[in-house]
Amino acid sequence: MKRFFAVVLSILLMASILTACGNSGKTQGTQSNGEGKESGQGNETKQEGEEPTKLVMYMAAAGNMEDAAKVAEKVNEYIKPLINAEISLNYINMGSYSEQVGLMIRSGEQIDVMFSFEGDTKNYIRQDALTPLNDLLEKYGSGIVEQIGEDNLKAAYVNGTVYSLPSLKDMAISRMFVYNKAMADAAGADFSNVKQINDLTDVFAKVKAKYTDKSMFGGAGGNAKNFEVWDWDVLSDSMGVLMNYGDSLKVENLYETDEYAQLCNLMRDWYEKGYIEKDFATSSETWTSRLQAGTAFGGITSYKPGAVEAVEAQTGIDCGYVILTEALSYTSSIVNTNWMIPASSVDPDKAMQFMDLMYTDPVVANLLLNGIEGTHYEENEDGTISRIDPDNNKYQEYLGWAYGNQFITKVWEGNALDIYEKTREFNASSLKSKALGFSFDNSAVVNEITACTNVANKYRTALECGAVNPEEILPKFTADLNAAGIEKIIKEKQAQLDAWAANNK
Amino acid sequence: MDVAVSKKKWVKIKKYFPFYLMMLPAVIYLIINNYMPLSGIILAFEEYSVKGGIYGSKLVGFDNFKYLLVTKDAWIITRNTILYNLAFIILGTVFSIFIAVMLNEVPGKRMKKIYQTVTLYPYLISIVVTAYLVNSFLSTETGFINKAILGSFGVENISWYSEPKNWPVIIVVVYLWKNFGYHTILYFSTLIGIDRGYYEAAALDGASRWQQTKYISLPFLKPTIITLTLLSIGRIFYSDFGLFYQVPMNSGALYDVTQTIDTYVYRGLMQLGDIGMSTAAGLYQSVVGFVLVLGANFAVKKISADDALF
Repeated sequence: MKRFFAVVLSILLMASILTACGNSGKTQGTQSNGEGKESGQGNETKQEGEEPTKLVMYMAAAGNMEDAAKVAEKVNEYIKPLINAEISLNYINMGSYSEQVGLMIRSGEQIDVMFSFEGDTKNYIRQDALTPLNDLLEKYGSGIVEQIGEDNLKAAYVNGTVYSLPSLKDMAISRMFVYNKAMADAAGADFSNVKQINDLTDVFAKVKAKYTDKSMFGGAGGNAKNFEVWDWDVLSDSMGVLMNYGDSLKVENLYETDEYAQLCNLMRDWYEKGYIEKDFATSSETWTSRLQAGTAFGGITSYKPGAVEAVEAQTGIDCGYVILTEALSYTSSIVNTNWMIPASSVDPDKAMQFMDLMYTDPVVANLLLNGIEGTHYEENEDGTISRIDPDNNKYQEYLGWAYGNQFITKVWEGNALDIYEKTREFNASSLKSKALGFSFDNSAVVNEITACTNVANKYRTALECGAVNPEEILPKFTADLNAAGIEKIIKEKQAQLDAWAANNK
Repeated sequence: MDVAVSKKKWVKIKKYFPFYLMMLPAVIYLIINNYMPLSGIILAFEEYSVKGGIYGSKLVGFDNFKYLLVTKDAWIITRNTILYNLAFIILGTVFSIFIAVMLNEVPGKRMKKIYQTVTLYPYLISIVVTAYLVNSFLSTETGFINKAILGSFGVENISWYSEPKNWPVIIVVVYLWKNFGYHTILYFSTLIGIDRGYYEAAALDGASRWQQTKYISLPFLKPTIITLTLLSIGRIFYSDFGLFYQVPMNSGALYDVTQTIDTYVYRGLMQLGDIGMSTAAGLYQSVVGFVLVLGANFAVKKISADDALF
């Protein structure tokens, strides 16, 4: 972190030399599989004795992935006869994934299939780092389109071009409060009247009276911004949003709405009453670890089928939950995790064929998400699977939901067997933002976005966990945002949205 | 005459030829490692695209620099960066020299070694660990200051991480605590190089400790002080990222007094990942640093020509 620029700069400059070397290497590579490329573009029938194309894949991980090479071997055994390609699986820890892969992408290192988060994907598109998938999808992707669903896939289009494929998971966002059931019962808390977040105050009062030394609200998500997502369509960066479940196409400044002010006031109220820890704004502890340690009564997270069970499995605490916002689908909720073929791919056709298998073939998907049967997992009698030797397991992909298609894989122990059908239903039955499918191109306002991002970072955390008085700070926040040019961003967004709406009537 | 000069030169080159040859690997290394990459500066003037690469992307002139200069924050980050660095340079130098002189007075080799190690230790601690050490003092609910000091006097707790007014002092104290050891060692090494004869002669003439320090130690330290200060001035537009990002626990309420150019660019560009804009920031910092070093060196040259760097 120290001397960030010196490091970034030197890496970049080194990269300039390396690319020079890399380029000569690449020409060799294309020479050796030149034949493969021609046949891949011409027709799909494979020729005997042809060298398989070597593909490189990158994915984020949150556990021990030592056995990735072994899994890749199994995958290769299976896919070689099908598409005559070999894959090398590379995992990078989630925390540093964006940074490391970003550097590789920008220096043109070979990557053929890659996972990425929405914000990064947008940057890659702006920097011309991805292969457009329109033609490839037409050629090899009918299975993928069917799995993702045409409506959902629309969200991935940017001005008519699709660069990335959303992963199949819960594609709508619904927020819920998850709490420690034993504590709630002991305090006699009644959740039956809780319909929205304000209603939690009365419940907290009751529980706090019994557990005076505990905090009631342990947070929402990884950082201290508690309302990063709520019942509005963030339109990719929260600078200009569609309020009320995106029911109109009027782009509004979130931070000037009454709803946001009310949320801040509520947090201030909770903070003053001791429902929120005093150091919350600067603490890096997650709400689940607070729940597990018994220092907090509960926290807010996204609802999806199996989500509460997942919290219970993680913390070992019997949990109850209450839903606070209805499920809402919008562009970002669909494309927040996605898959792409970088421009540095040696063979986009093969890469697409591999992605097709990843999205449609249960054998490939199971291997990638769960590892090798008998080594990393075993099947139980009821059809679910469980991890072998969880502490020393060398293939622990906890980000299965971010993988291409979790829905065709086996279900982990502790979940209902129909969890994926339920998830599909959940996605289908959600409210849809009016701007679903619209994707904001921020290249005309990058300076304003940088400035506004800094302003938001400065105020949001403190406001959204009650550490400061909103009556005093919120007007400062909005004044600073206006000075930083949020109006220009909103205007640009509104213009793009109107043009999009006119084209998609 | 020209012929004579060039002939003389040629003889000289011939004479030292083996030395030039010995220098060659280092020069080549320097060219490859330090000078060739300089062409990457062009990134600061480009809208970088992966397909275009470093030398083929679209040129956009000074657009990438705009975000550093046009916003309201520009003034705050420039002010913070420069004022903190000035405080660091002045207080850091005085404090380190003071400790170095004291260290020089410590009798006994063993004790000297012990003190030397103890003073250097904070410099070796990672900034993230430092941040949590500071946090254990300042935490609102469990911190040492709120619990043990303010609590026992019945003073109301201070929410340290949301009150900007104390942070200029906290930052400077943490900086001094962490860095004084390193600079002390640099000054101390100069001090032990001074011939003991000077001190003995001075003592014979009845000079007090203070007079010895003033008339012997400090004059000997002058070149070291000037070199170190000039180097610090060259980096006046850079800030210790960890100190300004980790130690305040990235608390938004403190940005007015903890935001420096490095943290600003980091926070702003984490989301955009724009290479052109971050290169622009780096270039801006280097150019300002370069100009300041030249200026400071020029000033030193005017005052005492012998001590100037170049």
